[in-house]
Amino acid sequence: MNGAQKSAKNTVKNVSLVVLVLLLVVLCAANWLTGLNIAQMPVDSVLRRAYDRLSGGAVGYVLRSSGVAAAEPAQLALVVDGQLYGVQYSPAELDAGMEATRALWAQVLAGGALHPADETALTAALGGQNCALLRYHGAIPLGMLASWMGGVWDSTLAVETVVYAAETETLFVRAVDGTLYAAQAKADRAALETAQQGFRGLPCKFAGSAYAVYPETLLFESEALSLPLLTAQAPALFEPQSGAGLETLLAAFDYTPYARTYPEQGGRVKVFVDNASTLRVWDTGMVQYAATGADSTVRAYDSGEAEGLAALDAQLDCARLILEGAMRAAETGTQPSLYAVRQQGGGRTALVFLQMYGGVPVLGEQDFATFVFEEGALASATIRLQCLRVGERYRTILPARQAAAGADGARRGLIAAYRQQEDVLVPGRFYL
Amino acid sequence: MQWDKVKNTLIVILLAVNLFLMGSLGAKLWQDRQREQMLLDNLTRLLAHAGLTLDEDFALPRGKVLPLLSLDRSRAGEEAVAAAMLGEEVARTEQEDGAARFESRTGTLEWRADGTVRAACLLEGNMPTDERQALSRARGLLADWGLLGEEVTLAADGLRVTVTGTLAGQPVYNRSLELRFDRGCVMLSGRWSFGTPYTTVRGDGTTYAAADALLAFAAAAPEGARIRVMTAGYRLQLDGSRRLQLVPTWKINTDSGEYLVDCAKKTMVAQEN
Repeated sequence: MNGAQKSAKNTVKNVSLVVLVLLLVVLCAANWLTGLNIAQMPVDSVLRRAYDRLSGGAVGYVLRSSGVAAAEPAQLALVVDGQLYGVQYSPAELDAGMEATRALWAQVLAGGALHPADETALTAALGGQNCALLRYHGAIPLGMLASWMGGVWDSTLAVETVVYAAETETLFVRAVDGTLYAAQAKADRAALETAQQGFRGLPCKFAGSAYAVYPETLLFESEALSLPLLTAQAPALFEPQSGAGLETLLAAFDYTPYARTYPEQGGRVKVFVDNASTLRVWDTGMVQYAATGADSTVRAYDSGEAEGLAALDAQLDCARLILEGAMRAAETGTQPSLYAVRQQGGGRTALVFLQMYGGVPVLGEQDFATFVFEEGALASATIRLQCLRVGERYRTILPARQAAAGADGARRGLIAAYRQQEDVLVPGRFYL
Repeated sequence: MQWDKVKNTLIVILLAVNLFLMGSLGAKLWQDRQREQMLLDNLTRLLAHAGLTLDEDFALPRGKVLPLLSLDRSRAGEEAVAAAMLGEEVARTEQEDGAARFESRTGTLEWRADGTVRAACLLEGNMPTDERQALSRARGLLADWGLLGEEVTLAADGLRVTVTGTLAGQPVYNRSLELRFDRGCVMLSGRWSFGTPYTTVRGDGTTYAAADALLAFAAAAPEGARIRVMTAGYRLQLDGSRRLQLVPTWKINTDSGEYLVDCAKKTMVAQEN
């Protein structure tokens, strides 16, 4: 064999080796891909996105890791042309109000040093020409509230009301225990004007210092809040034709319909079990989830993946999705809303939710839903599902102006809510 | 010489491994194909028991992985359409059920929380007289009103123009608008949405099997129907939190009409035609 032939043979071998190695890589990838369960891949993974694009799956949607509000505001107000306008207890009007003012709140809730403030400073600021108010039911961590609006605030202070006074460039924050804080805040003139152009509401006034209620309490000029009486019914989760509802409920907790199950209490409770958790569903609508150990089938985030507000955000998102799934399964006709966040020791976080009917909270003797997370894993959850049916009778709520006039003693807040009276849920005005 | 031997050995090893991998892949694909064929045969038998038949050209689609998507209601978008359609002097009223009603001298428009829209307004300029003119006029009006996106398709039937569009690259079976030109007016009706759909990090999606949907369809379908084709997509639905959701849905075309089957609940939700 001469040199030229040897060289040609050597080249053929080299090319063969390269081709075979490339083929090996392609075949390994193909074998690996055919064994993958694409549906189990998170939607933010590159591989999942590539698969969706190639296989004609869903594309062009966005992924939100936060920003989906877990709580419904109770009241929203803004001064427009020197007159204060407000909306309250109407999901449609509050949605519209939030859309108009979100950019303003995003700028205002942008972090700042909070310091205790005096009620007189707030009362003086409320008389200004450009004020805005946002109030929630319960205690929302300030950082979460800012995140929902598109702002950033590294604070877990549980707040109920925020008031922005543009003249003094001050943000007043009412904590859930009634303590008032203030911080410097500034919004663009354009953002304020855009909010004022888009905001629609009814004329109202701040209570100021005239009554024994918080100065920022909204007193509407012609308030006639008439709400229907409600009756609570147990959801029909065990009815044969509601199989899909129970399946949706199981799916909310990442259970499959093929999970091991057995009845308890004469069939009044269905127990579903997997390797790491137990789910009990009562025929009354109560749902209890408990992880058996440190492991849980439901995780908001993996260990070390998130901390601080990001961890809280992930847990809130996880709890909200489960709760929405459960309420969809039971067809309750109501909405969940975050009520409180309790940070306990040992990395435990308890999230408490309210049930809302048409923007008005439904208060019971026990919390509507409680989720407890330990280091990102759902340790336990209790949901008291109930379907609310509208009765024929309506009740007009005592106007806030009269309720404020009747208040005495220390300053406090006012709330409209449903409370159980015998077999009926009756709307009323309550002092906090 | 030593390198030559090493190369030969490597080529032999690589060839053997590649042949094994090819065999493994081929076997998997062959098994999948066999399983699909067996599934189709079983389905045909089960459907026959329910009085249904599959068209000769029917091909069972592969399972589709679709995430549940959400959409935010855009009241600003609704108001912008109302202003463009009815002029700047628009009176807006909010209904108790979340519907927004816009009224002006030239017409009315109502948007409901579930995206349903109904409007009627005076048409400026000439009325279209044929399909071609109706299509061109509808395109112009939709562009003026801000409803003509990139993924929008228009189809005319006389003086009625139907507007459909995709979201997240998928058809949305109950998201369409109809424009009707009649006696100097244009009427708009249907269901529409604004903005980009979104999901959250936890919403990973589920594989929705076509066979499951067919069996759910068989349980509620009219007897004697002949199934022609089925496609996966979405349908708009209002959830318990008043957010619009895009729910994965199979659409089944038969000789007696089109039917929608909820992928997750495995129930027939509506008969389209």
